[in-house]
Amino acid sequence: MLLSVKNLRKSFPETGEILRGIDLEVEKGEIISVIGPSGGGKTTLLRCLNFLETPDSGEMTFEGETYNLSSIGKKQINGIRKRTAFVFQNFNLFANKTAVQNVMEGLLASGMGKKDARRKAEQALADVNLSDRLDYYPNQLSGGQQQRVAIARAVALDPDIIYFDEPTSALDPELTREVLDVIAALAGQSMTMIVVTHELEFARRISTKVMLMDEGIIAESAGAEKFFNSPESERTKQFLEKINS
Amino acid sequence: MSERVIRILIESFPKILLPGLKMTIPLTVFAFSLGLIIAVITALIQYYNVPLLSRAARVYIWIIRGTPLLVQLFVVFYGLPGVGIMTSPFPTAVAVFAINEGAYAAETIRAALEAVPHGQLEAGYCVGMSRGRTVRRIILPQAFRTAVPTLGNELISMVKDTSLAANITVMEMFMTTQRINAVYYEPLALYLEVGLIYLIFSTVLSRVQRVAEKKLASYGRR
Ligand SMILES: Nc1ncnc2c1ncn2[C@@H]1O[C@H](COP(=O)(O)OP(=O)(O)OP(=O)(O)O)[C@@H](O)[C@H]1O
Ligand SMILES: [Mg+2]
Repeated sequence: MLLSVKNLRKSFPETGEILRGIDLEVEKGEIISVIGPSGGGKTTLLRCLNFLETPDSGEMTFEGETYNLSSIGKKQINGIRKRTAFVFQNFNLFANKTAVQNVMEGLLASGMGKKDARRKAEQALADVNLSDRLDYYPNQLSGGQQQRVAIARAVALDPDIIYFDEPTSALDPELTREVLDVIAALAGQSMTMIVVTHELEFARRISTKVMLMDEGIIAESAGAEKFFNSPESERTKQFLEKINS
Repeated sequence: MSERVIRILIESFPKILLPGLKMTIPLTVFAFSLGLIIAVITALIQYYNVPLLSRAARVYIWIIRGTPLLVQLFVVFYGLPGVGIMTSPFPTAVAVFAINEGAYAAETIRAALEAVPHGQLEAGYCVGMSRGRTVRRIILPQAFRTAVPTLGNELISMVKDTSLAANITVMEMFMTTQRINAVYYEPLALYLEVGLIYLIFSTVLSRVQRVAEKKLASYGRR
């Protein structure tokens, strides 16, 4: 087991309890898609897994070590973050850094030398077909290109798991395709990932497991075929019906 | 204009310009650089919300921005010797101008820091960077870029404000002009002349500012 979470809870003072006891297990090499209605807590869940939000309570086991989420310390958080990566809906590329520098930043922070970092960053960008955009700043790149840089930035860190939060929602349909292809290629290399997405066809194609998240709980969790063909929970049936109608 | 006035103007021009180059510009350069350092530290204290220091920073900015620069100069230069702290004109001027500029620029930089989207910091965390490292390499450079136009204006203001240092016996351009005027008594012509030299200084700086802004305008904006 790479990652497991038990009874994760999170509330915000303004909006109340958003995550109401999440249980989650991720095996190495698994590709989990999380779908569900807007406001269901998908983003909040990913952010809690990477401690961009502080969970209120729960338990996390990551690579054999168990942490109490209500008392986890800064050092442990940093340790976990070093082995995970995050791809944001709105990219969040470093605006003052070029594409290749964006990928290098994390490598340099981990203590890698400049030359090695540069070589690795160039390779990572080549893998997302951006060798011709190394020295472009984010605002000189299309949304799809920016998101591919962001993915290269995540992958270059050799993380044990990557969290994607709606990686294509900010993109035009034409650009969505190129980003999905890159993610599918990663899936093909058995990169472990959790992908929050509204692209159901895509989820069905790449996932080993699909989850429906609604009102702060995981309402259904099943293999892709089973999830879409014969879901068990009413919520999943309703959600799929609404989408397909 | 009489021939006498023209002759006085021509003779006095280098005499005024020289202290401009030897006093006004160094005073501005030292004070502004020092002021920027103070400002960055003060702004970061507020950005990090350091307990106590953060409040001290507010008080510092409040006092400095709420009192006239001239009063600040007088308190330090004429007031402090009264409690046994001796000061000499030029260093005093540098210190007071730096402390003054520090307060204004601190506000500029703090606002610019806060204008950097929070996602930049989060992205730093997510690639394993510490907050300090992210602030240093990602947030501060972006904030500086935002702050450059305002800081440029503050620099131009400072060049002009250095004339106040005449009041604490710094022999800068304005004081020199006053001295020359005491000899020839041509106030209109001579003060217009020194005004013109200030104008030249600020115009050059404005030009530099515009070029700098264009260069920095935005990271490779198309
Ligand atoms: N920082 C916050 N402070 C207060 N409330 C928040 C915060 N972040 C999220 N919420 C609330 O939590 C709920 C779930 O939000 P979240 O972004 O996790 O949903 P989501 O499933 O990702 O939705 P979408 O599909 O629209 O992205 C929303 O009602 C939102 O208002
Ligand atoms: Mg979301």
